[in-house]
Amino acid sequence: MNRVFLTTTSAIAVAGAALLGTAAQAQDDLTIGLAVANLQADFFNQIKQSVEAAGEEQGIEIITVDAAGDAATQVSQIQDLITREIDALIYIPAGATAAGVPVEAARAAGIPVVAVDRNPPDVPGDTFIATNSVAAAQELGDWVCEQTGGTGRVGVVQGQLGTTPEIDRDTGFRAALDDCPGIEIVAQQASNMWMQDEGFAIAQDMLLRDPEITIFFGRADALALGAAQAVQVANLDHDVLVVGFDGDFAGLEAVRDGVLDATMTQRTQGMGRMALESAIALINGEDVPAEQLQPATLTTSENAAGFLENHP
Amino acid sequence: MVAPSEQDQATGRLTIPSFNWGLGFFGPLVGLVLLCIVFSFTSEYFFTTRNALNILDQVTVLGILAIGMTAVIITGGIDLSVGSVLAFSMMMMGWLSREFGVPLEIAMLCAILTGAACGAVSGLLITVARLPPFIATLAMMTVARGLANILTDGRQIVGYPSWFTSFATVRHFDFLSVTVGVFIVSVILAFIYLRYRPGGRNLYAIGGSPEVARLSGIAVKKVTVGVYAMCGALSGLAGIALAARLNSSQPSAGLTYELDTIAAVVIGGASLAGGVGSIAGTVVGVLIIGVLSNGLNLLAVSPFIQMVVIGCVIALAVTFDTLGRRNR
Amino acid sequence: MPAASAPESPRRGLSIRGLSKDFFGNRVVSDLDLDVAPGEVVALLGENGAGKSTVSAMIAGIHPPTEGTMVWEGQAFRPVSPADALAAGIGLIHQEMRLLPDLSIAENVFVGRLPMRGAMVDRETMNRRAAEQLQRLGLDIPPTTRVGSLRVAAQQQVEIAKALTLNARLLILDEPTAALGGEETDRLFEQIERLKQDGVSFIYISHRLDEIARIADRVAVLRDGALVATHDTAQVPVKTLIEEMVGRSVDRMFPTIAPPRDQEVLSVDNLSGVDGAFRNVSFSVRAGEVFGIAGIVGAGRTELVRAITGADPLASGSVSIDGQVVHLREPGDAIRAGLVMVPEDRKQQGLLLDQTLADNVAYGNFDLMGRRGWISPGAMRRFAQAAISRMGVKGQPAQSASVLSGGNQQKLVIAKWISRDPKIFILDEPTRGIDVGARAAIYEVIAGLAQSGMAVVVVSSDLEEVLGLSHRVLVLSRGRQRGLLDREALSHVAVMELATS
Repeated sequence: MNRVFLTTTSAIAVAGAALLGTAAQAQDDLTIGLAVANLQADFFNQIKQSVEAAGEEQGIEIITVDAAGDAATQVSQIQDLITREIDALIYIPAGATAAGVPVEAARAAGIPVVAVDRNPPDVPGDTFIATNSVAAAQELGDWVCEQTGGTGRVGVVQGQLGTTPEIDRDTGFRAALDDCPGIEIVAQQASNMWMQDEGFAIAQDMLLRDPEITIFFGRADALALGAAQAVQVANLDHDVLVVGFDGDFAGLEAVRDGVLDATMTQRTQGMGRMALESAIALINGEDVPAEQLQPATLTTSENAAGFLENHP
Repeated sequence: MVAPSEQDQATGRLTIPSFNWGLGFFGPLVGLVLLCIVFSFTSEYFFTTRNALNILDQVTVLGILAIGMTAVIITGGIDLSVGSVLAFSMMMMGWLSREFGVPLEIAMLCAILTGAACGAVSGLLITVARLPPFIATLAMMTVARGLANILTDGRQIVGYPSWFTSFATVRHFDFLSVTVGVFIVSVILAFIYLRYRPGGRNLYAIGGSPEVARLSGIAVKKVTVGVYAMCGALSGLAGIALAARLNSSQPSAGLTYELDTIAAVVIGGASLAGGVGSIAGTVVGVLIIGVLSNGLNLLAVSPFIQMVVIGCVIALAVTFDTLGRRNR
Repeated sequence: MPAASAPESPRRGLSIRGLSKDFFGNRVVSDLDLDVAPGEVVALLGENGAGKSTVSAMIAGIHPPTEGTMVWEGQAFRPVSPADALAAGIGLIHQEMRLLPDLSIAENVFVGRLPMRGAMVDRETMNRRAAEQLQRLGLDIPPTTRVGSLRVAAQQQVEIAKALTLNARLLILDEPTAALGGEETDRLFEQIERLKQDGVSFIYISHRLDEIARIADRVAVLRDGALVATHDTAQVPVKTLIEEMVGRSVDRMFPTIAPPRDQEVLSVDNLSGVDGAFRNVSFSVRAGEVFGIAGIVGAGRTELVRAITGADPLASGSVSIDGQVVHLREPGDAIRAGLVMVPEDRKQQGLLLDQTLADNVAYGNFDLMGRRGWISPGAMRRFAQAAISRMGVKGQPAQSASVLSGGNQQKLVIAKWISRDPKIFILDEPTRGIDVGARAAIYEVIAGLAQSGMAVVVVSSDLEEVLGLSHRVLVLSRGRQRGLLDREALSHVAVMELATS
């Protein structure tokens, strides 16, 4: 009979969780589903927080699900959101390439989809909101060229290969370096999870092979932070310029404190709000452009502090 | 402790009859029913045919993996490689059909064979090299994940023919998709095998004690390799189902699925010590996990609270199971 | 506290009056009086379930008595834990060792109270003191030896050494010789004699009645929790003791077995084991014959029969069944060829204690039940019911094997194989740890197997058993075949001479 006791207990736990969930229910009838790729990543978490904050202001119920990086989990979760009769879906795809399956399912149920950060190539969302990564990476590249006087050896700590952000940031950065022949990419290696400890290990190995590296580009702030740590540990006799991308909280702090030299701050708050506004517009049958690419802001020690207080 | 056992011996007192025939899933079943009742009252969306079918859809991959894992755990082993083998098999299928134009039907068969081969290697490491199952399958977990990435240099393969993706998406007779059907058929076959065939019954002997099993004339090594190979083949099958569901093959698929699978099997009443477990219990365990995350999603419970709830349910299930065993 | 509470008790030693113990309302020990003087060995006899273990558990502080008093060395004695009893000088040496196999002898002896020098373990002192104790026991082993590498007998002596370093003055030995061979038993008895000289008392629990006369000063017999007899001398006929233990007269322990038939069923030729456990063994067994294999522990008896049945590999030699050479690589091959074995350790090798009787009987027998490889719970239950009623096992198919008594467990293992009507039945230590009443039943079964025309091989450390049952006896010593004795030549002395050669 222990099992019965167990299940009663867990039923109570579930009921408690249910209350927590329904307590947040708003007066307004609109319900919008937010499917996040991975809440462990600060970038996604920031978007989530801004969507939820904007929803609360407007009295719209936001149901958030977290796929923890697994595409199959995300398909199931979106299935549940559709069952829940959401009015619109904000979809931040998990996995290397965005899956079209959830968009198809939502469309079949007559639910508009706002794709954020990545867009399924086969079945794109009704609108797509992302940073113009190519342009932003190019801006970053130009800045690097300018800071170094046009010479240097670059080590690139890549993100997960095959993902859209990795490809776009590579394209933009290389475009900038094309106009800056004195700077050469001497090493590049991919990480799997965009994590700081990976960045540290990869950069350390690069410095071992080539201590003459003068520039590190981490494809995300966490990777750049790892690289900066590796540089510090290596005790080099020359300065190394370390730049990142994303402008997440840890990255901005590091830029403010001079640990990183620059990053490109994505407008996560703006994107979250824009995603919610687009979703409402789509529900109301208004026209929304198919792509709404946002610029990112070059952030150095001069403007980092401001962004920390008031993230764009 | 001394005297009560003497007492048992003296009187031949009848203790709980415990045919490990699969009736041990009664407790988890009560739990599942309770969960369903709670969700039915708290969410208007839960108790609908469509949602029930959704849940079946959602647990198919986990369920197929859990069948193989049940057999492995009954023998007293563990297979940590199911998620990686799933990814490797699904990549093998996509790679063969994409790069070499192998007909998809044959590529599907190859995916299952790939899984079986991985499992057989694990089984041989355990029986011939005498590695503990935990270590052998931990090694296979890493190797298979690496192989899955090597095939396409880490890229995923997107876009299968529509007849293939319809396996997961089209509900025949408004009821069953092909993948759910495959899951149900696998469950029935496994149930029959474990209950009515000597080969299945022998797994319980091996889990109870490999030495007793061997002295009883059971070819323990052969059976062990077979069990891991079958678990691998089922991982391959699950990989096919997942590819149909995602309309793609991803080398990163199935990360940490081994833990979900083990949790489902253990919630279903199996003992990691071996010799105890049933397919019926496992199905209930799989459904508990599926219903729990489905219901919590429907209730719009925050993802962070969901993690806590699911963790608590697993801990409670196993705690009461061990306590119950000790009290016997 | 003055000895006035029990005026007639001896001033030293242990004195027990009116000791009773209830478990869940059942009285398992009732109104027991027992005295143990310093330097005295009192044998406590009784069948399994008679209450011996409960009595020792109460003295050793494992269970508190429900009623009654104990006086130890003139003080009222009410131990609340084994540590408490040990501190007072009373130690219990278990049948099953409770040693840590990966630690050294010295560490085991001093575990929980390692001599310290500052924050470090004082290994020097520890090893020196352990060595002293080992010497006192006449053991010539370095104290740094890993306990797991010791033989069972030596491990037991480590347990005794441990108790002695705690200054134990009364040791309770629970079945100390169950795992010992003749030579090791002799060593143990020498040590008991030596400790007696130092004034150490013993309560000695054993099923081996022949030992009692050798070692005990007095004998107390328990039956159903009550003291039924005490003898002030150990020179009591074994038959009397058995009758007191089982509560009825036992005319003969061993059934008479008809002479074997002529047909040779099993023959082994020049058999050697891979690790030299036995070498060049040859013998043959006829239908209806009971063939005994004797020898002291470590002689290679178990290794020999395990190799014959395919459980362990053979280095050389051949096994023939019905005149045909067979290659048995796995126990499964042997079973299919009609050769079955009841293994030495029924709890570890013969049975799955957590599983039901029906399951236990079924493993290895699925080919005999159901149709075309399909089995059902019903078929299993019927099969098990038939097997256990044929053997008279007291139990139900759905019961867990762990609730059976040792004798019934052994019958269950035999029941499993008897269902196959095998040609050759090998029993390794068929009555180890089984009480006297149940032993006779096992002997009847063995006789029945031979009667029905099977070739039966019995391996046993119990010489009485081998002599009482066998038509012929093979004696092994240190892996060598020392002799093959016919019934006429069989005697205690003859076997022991060969076994210790």
